[in-house]
Amino acid sequence: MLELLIAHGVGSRGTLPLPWWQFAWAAIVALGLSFVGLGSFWRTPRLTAEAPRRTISGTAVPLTIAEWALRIVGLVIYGLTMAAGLFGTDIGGESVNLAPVTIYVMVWVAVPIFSAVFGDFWSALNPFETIGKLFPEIRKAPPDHHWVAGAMLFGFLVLELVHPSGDSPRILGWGMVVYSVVIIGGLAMYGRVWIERADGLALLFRTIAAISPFGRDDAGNLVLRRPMSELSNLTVRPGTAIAFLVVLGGTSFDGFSESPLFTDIIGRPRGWAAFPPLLIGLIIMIGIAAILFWIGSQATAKVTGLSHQAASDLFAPSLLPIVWAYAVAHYAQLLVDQSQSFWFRLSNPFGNFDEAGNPTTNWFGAADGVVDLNVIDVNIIAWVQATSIVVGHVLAVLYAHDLAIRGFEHRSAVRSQQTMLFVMVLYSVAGLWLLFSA
Amino acid sequence: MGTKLLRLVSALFAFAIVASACGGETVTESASEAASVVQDAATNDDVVDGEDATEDEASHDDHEAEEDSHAHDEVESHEEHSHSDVLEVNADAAVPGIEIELTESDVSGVFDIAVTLTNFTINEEAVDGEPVDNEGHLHLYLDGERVERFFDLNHQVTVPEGEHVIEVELSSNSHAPYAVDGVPIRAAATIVGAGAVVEPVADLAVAAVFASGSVTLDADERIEASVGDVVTLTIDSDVAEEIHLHGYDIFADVVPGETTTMTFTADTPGRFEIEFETSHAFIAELVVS
Repeated sequence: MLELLIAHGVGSRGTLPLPWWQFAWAAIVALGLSFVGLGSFWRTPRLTAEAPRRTISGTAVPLTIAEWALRIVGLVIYGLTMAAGLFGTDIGGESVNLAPVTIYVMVWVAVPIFSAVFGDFWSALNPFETIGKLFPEIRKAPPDHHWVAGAMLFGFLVLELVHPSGDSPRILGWGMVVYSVVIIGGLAMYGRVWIERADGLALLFRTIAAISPFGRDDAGNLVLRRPMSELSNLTVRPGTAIAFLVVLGGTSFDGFSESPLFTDIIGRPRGWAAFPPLLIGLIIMIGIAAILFWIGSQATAKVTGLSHQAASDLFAPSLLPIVWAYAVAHYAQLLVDQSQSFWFRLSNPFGNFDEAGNPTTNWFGAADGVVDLNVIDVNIIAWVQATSIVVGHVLAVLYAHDLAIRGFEHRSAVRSQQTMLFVMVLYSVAGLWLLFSA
Repeated sequence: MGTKLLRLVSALFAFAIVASACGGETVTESASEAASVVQDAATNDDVVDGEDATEDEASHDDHEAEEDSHAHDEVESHEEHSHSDVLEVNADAAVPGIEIELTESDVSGVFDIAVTLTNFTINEEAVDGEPVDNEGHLHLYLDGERVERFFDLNHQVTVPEGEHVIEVELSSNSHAPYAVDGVPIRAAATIVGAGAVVEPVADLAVAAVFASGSVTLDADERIEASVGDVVTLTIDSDVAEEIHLHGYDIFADVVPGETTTMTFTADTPGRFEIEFETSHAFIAELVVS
């Protein structure tokens, strides 16, 4: 029996609503820690780019070997996935094909969730980084903004959450072609620097990976650092904050669009009839996330005397722990269920079956696999969801606090933080509420 | 601000501790529930396709047959069943005989027994009366255990899943089996039951009607079930369709003019969509928690 897709991306099961007491538990802990934290945190910045790091010497060679192994894996899966999308079985929306599960589960969910723990392994897996080795570092000065990256992420979300056939391998195959043309075309035009500007997925994953305590130095050695200290090395450009807000709003929308409240509002239109309301819903959610952030950074600007732009750029990286928490909270169940499916599809990437219903290729002998929906108890998943929101919230608050005390003395730092803290509380409680009302 | 804030914070924490304590209990309870349910996770689909019945006939003189290694021809040792109070066939009377033939009926687990008698008359009226030569009724044995008496030549027996021996015995009116040289006259057959499908009593029943492209449900379109519930969904449709319960991946064909029933045990928690596979019309969302 084949695992089938539902309207939003991949997956045959929706996560259960969070029990109310778990919602209350997480919200109260997040709020409580915020209040306790306000004012009583450390008084000197600890998470700057200059925070102490330890280099483990002698790790450059094994890590470089691992990096190139990942590059090969990344290139192979990229090629296979695109070919499967363009030429593989494209019936109904059945995920017999490799493309949907690779893109919506492995890339979109697994990579960011694990990047926050293990660091920036995506820079090795990312096929465009590898292809970029063929191009010079810089050929021509690229535009100094992240609008293209943000647009790529928005396009991705439209395909995932709005497009009626967003789960169709063919559509995804063409989506990959468009993404590749933009990136590789830019590589040819500007050189490797283009990836930093335009590859939205890479921007997102790289920034989430800055939360991780693991990094590499220029020589390729493993570096142990304070979690989140790498966020300060992020180059913020016009559009960077918006790119993150697009993802935050998009993940919220994915949760919201599955809630009964949403179906009360728009009903259950199917096919293209659903396109306009879903698109508007997505934009509104991104808008809400952006307005909240704007209010927070505006207030910070007022208290500190920074320009609004400077305040918003300063605090943009503190969104990342929340973005990460939303991803874990919304997709933990999907990841557990569908990462199994990735392995099955990899055995028969094109999803071709003979007349007797047997897979025509079965590379790893797993093509007939059936997802075990009971691998992890749903109660554990619920705890992971609620806890991730709390952890993400606390990390975001800590980082924002660290940012605030860098420029200002403690008292005004605390004041500068108050509104931003309030905004973060809203994000977290809203995130929990979405889980609760799913 | 100091003391006030401190009070607020401690109040919040007290609440948090209470909330998480309550929560702790709830989670253990439901976790053990889930665990016990996983055991009987088999869906009905698994049970329906049974094996065909294997039948064998055995006549009353089969007791002489040697122990056969072939399980289906096996005749139970008579000593187990020999009653001390058998009724020897009267030397003057014709020796009665019985043959049976078992065929699996349309209902899984239920077999039809066709009885052929020679020199024997069934007399329902005379049961419990005095023995009369070549007259009496029939006793049915399942795996050596007497199940019932019966009076018709076409009878039915329901067996659990697996291999079973069915025996029918010629009984006199006084319930003493007729015997020749102390051995009761019986016919035996071995069958393999696919297991009787006992229609489960649904914990939750929902009916849907699909007409002119729109679905009408007699319940909320969010069907809330507890783990382990037996859920029955009946569907009437004006077009040929296929229902699909996602996640569980249970499918059922819908024929116009007929009522389709889909019964399953909700053993996997989560939210699952039920829809028509061809038109993608939404039927309901099953929430199992």
